[in-house]
Amino acid sequence: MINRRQILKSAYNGLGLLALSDILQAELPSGPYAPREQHVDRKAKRCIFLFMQGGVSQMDSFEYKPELNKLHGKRIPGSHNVRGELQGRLSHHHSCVGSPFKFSQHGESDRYVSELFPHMASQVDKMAFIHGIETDNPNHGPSTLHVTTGSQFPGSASVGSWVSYGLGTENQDMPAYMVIQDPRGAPVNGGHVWGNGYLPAAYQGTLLRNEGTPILNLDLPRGLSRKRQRSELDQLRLLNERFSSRFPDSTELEARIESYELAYRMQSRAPELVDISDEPEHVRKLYGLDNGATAAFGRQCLMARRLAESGVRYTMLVHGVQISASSWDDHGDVKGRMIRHSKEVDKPVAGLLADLEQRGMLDDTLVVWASEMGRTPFINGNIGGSPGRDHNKYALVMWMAGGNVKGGATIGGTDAFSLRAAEESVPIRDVHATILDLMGLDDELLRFHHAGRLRRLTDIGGTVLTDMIAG
Amino acid sequence: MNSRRQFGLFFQLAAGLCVSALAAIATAAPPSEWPYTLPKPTEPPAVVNADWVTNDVDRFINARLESKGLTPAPIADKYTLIKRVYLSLIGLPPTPAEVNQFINNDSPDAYSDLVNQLLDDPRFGEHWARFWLDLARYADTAGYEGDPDMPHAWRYRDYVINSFNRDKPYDQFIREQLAGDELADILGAGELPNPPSENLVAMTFMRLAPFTEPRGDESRHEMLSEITTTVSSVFLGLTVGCAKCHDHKYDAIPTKDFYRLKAFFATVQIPPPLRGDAFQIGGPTPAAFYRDGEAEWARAKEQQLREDAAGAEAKLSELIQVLKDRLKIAAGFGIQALGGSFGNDYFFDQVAVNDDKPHRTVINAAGGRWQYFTDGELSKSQGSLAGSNRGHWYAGIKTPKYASIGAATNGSGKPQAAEFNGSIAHILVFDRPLSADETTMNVSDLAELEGLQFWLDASDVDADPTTANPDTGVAITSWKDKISGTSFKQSNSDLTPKLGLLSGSDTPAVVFDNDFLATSPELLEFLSDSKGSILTVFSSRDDDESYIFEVGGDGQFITTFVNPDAAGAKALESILADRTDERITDEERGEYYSLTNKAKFLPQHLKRLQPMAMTLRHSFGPPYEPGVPTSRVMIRGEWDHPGEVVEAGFLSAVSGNEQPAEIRLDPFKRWPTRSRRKALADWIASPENPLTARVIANRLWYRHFGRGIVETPSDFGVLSGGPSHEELLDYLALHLVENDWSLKSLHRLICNSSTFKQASAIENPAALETALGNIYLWRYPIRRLGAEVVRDRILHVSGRLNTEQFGLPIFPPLPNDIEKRVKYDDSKWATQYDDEGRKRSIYIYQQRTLNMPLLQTFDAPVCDESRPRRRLSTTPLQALAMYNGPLVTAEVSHFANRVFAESENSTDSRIRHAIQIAFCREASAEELSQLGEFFDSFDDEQKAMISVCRVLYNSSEFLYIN
Repeated sequence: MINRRQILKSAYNGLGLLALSDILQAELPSGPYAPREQHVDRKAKRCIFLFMQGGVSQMDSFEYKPELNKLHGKRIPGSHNVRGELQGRLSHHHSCVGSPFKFSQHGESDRYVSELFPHMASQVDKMAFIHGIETDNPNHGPSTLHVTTGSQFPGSASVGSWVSYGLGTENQDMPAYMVIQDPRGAPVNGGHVWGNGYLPAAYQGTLLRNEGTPILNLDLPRGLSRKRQRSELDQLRLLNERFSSRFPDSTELEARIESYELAYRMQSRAPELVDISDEPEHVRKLYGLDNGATAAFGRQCLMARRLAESGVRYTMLVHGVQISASSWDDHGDVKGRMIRHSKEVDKPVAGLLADLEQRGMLDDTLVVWASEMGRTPFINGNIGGSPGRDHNKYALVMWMAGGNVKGGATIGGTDAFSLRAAEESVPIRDVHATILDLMGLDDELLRFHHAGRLRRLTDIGGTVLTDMIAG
Repeated sequence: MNSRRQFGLFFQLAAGLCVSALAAIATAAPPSEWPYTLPKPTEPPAVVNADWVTNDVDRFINARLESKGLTPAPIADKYTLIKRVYLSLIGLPPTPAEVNQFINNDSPDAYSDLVNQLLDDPRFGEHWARFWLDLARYADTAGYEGDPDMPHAWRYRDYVINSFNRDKPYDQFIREQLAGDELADILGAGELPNPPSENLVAMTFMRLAPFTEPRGDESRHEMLSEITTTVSSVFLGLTVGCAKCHDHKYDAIPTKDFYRLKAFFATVQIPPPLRGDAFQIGGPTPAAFYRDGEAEWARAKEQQLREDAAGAEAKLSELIQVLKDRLKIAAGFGIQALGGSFGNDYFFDQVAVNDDKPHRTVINAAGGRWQYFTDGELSKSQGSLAGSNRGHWYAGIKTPKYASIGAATNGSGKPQAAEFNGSIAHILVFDRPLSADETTMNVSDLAELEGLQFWLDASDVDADPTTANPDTGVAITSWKDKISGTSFKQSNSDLTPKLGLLSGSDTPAVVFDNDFLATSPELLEFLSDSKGSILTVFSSRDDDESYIFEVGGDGQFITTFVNPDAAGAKALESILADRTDERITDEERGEYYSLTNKAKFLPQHLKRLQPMAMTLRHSFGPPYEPGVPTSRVMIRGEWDHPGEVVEAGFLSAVSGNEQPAEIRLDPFKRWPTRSRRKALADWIASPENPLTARVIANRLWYRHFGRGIVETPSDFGVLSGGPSHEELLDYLALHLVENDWSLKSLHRLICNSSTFKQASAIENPAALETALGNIYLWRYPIRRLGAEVVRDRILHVSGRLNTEQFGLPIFPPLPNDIEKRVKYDDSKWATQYDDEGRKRSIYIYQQRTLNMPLLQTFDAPVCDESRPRRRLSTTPLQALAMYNGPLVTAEVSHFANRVFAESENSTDSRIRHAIQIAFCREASAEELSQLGEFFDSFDDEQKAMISVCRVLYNSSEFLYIN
């Protein structure tokens, strides 16, 4: 066995450690945007990540808990293995809140879905569900980061950044990783949710804007024609080529010259992509663009399909705005508010799945539905007129569809009250490892050296949920 | 290499390391290995290529090159040198005059004098503070939900700039930040010594991590763990934080050491949150301004801010008038429901009706929606000043006490404000919304329609068709509703309107000039309707808000009004917000928002100006506060899994043992919680610590060369790969200590070396192969400039950089007003369109949820954790930001104007000067002909120069240091 001294000695005398640290730190040799091979063969080429800000109530959406309804207004019986805030809340006076919504079974998988999601219910055989996912913190800020970046503390790289780092870009005219936030505003933590953290900036999510130009700085300055731009760029190229000829071994200077051509192409490509006027009426209807309640998220979903179609590697959609009535954070009137939230997303999301399928794209597109937490089956105090639900970091529900996802599969399950996993919780890192796997990336291998560690999305490593993966 | 093999290689190597590192821990004994042994003095080696050598640094570099059979590059030309040393030391390029002076200075000391001059330049601290703020994870907000402001964090930024400019000894710099409150010895039994305010500001360092809604012990555990992690990576270059949950996988750092180190912070006390601190990030502590002139500056600044805000109001109304006149924005007509259950609903059509011409307006209310017709046109642009448009109609008034015409009574029934000046021919109210066709019908035909509930008719003021109207000019003491017969009356002759004609027509009308009529509403049936329509035929010459027809009682009312200001401001806002609307110039937009923001953000700026610091202290200890708590290992790093008890102690890999640290309590035993951090600071800031000097020397080297002697500046452990030049690093570390920890002495040594001065544009394929790139520095490494230098250079070149030093955070304009689209941020980003927003980038407000896009795209991180280095990426988004973005777009015309002003009237002279400004060198013949031809291809010289300047701004040479 070699000792440390030998390692250090060898560091600059051969390939040894130097190579390690250089490979670990350098941007990949072919440039950050070059497409890269999968580690494992998976069908998915791209991912659409649907993030519902606020904490979707699982027992009013995808978890049918008749027992809970019977306990409406009463305490939860028995003792439960929960810690921290939830433990404290349970030990105080509390009242169960049964779901006010009817559940029925759908599809060949006979899955119960609440009446709030009739359209998604019609697509339910495409989905594999994960119940009882646990995160580290019951506050919106940290738990949102945990689900979107793998760590509850700011500074880590988001899932989309890891995927683009691992797989590079297919469409050289667009960024690999696009984000469409709720037109009403930003999610909690703002840009951290799609941040590159310690990964190079090339892997950060690019916000597709709802108004004005789709990408920041895409429009030419006022009074500048495309023709004059071209003539300036030609001059620029001459200057840049002359400069880089003095540094012939610098690939970076070459890349900078190319970046101006990329940007020039993006200027025409991006507006085409967001111009949905060529979408026929039946497609608009499929996404609910013809209805005031569904039009906003419908547009986000339709845009996601168009981006996926054009080869954008990873698209994140956010529904909901931090600390407002527009998020799924239904501490009060969970009935009234769930009706509204579900209406806004149900048809658009189902439309997206159906549209991907009819275009033959569902096979190579992974669709993920997520939120930052589940909600409590009870409220503290008496039941009152229009009860809500509080935060529950033990009972997040997610589903995935497309690619190698085994439709109809179920991972985990919660107890009779939807309080927490009936058996073992599914840590969010396992879900992340599974997303990576479905994108053809191996959580063990997808690393980046930062602050003394070979960082990875799952921090200490996740276990792939193989039961939801087909072939 | 395909990606699979590449990632596979990472893994295998990492796994191999893992095993060897465990072996190293198992044999932890007195430290005998780098970096845990003290730096050794080494005689700088003799070299063959002695002519090339300027100082000892070069001997180490050259010896290594020679051992590899390589030679260093020749010394760069003087143009390259002056640009390089300016950018490296002060982060700004030299001006053409400064370049000339240096080129013409033949003294052998010209260069070293220049280095000295730049080290004394106050801009030095502004540039070098940036790398320290990255390390200190500096930001002006706390992050997470709401991203609350940390109003006094900026004082730490100024502390760093000032410390670097004054060349504060590095050991003192460390002590102040870790234990500034504990440095004074206790010599008597009196008060606890009051630390200098500079030290209080310095300790902000420990509070700069992101912070969210606290949760008791869990939060304290995470907070102290974060401080432990950051302190050890910043000052010791060790990733001690990796040992929080388990023994370090690669380095000799057991978990126990993490908690022994954390125990030094066990008595840290953060001031509790102030009242009104919704996110509970904790409060500030008084800390007087301490720099020379700083207190005077603060007073003057406060006065200036107040005056600006006061003056802004007058300037703003002038500007608004100018814009409104140009845009022909005048009145609006609308409806308001206010008071009681209404709240304040206030909606209007934006079509001008105060031009003293006849107008017919219709307001329809149905199903919570308003519809406006003005002169038969359906409103295209409706405005609202308040409310949520719940469609209140007259039935919203439960028990109306009065109806009135001609003034606002605010629910009282007596005229109070907003008098109407104009004439009214008809007011008709229907119990249903009118159709579009109906809005244009003759009044007599309208009167035949279903649903008419109320009709004031000036052509028949007594509502009796058989009697003639009085003559025009006669006072109208009574105006009768033709449906119910209710009379609107006035007995006060001072307030009586007169019969006249509608302006510019021969239609009879009741003319109001601050006059008033009222009635009690018993017979007004329409007041029971929940939907309806009100049609008014009138003319108005009001340039102020004026109310026409009001119904109310008990403090609530519903009224129709003419409102030029409200409608005008609203219409103006929407035109201002649409940046493609060319009726308003960018300058006017800037001026408008700038003036608006001066008043809006005044309280926020004033709060920051309080002499406070976001600092911490040690607890007072018994009997006032708890004593020193027991410190424990927390199993798996979990806050509620306590393990074995530990005492505060230094890293065993360095000290060779696990003895508790000796903490020198005050001799009077009164403050047992004091001096813990001082013990740690003294251990770190000591020549006997093998890491401290090496780590900072390597950091400076890293910033000068774009790579370190140790490539991972905050990780000197196994994964660093070790130093490329071990003896050189030791030499630098010892040099630092011997020169009283003067960082400037290290800068001087490095910048004067031939290693730093050598050329970069050198081809040597053999060297590339042998030296694995350029790790042995056989040439100066060309690389992209950092984000802040890019922005500062753009402004410097255009001549518009505001060079004022220190002070409140600045808020440069953001592209497309993105600050308004991020929730919470609208309340923080006080966009400054004037000079203030063009200070250097180090002063930009660091908002964790809103990284400034230009800087972000050039790899400026949000400093959520300590960032030892910047990545330098190349992306098309950078191209978009430089080519289309608002900064270059604004500055390029100033750059062009500068060229015109400073050069002679010939294409050649202009191109030559533009290149001197942008590239700090003379133009080549090729460039002169290429860009000259381009320049001459334009008809318009201004446009031509702007195009040339934009090309120069976007060129690689502008963005790179070489």
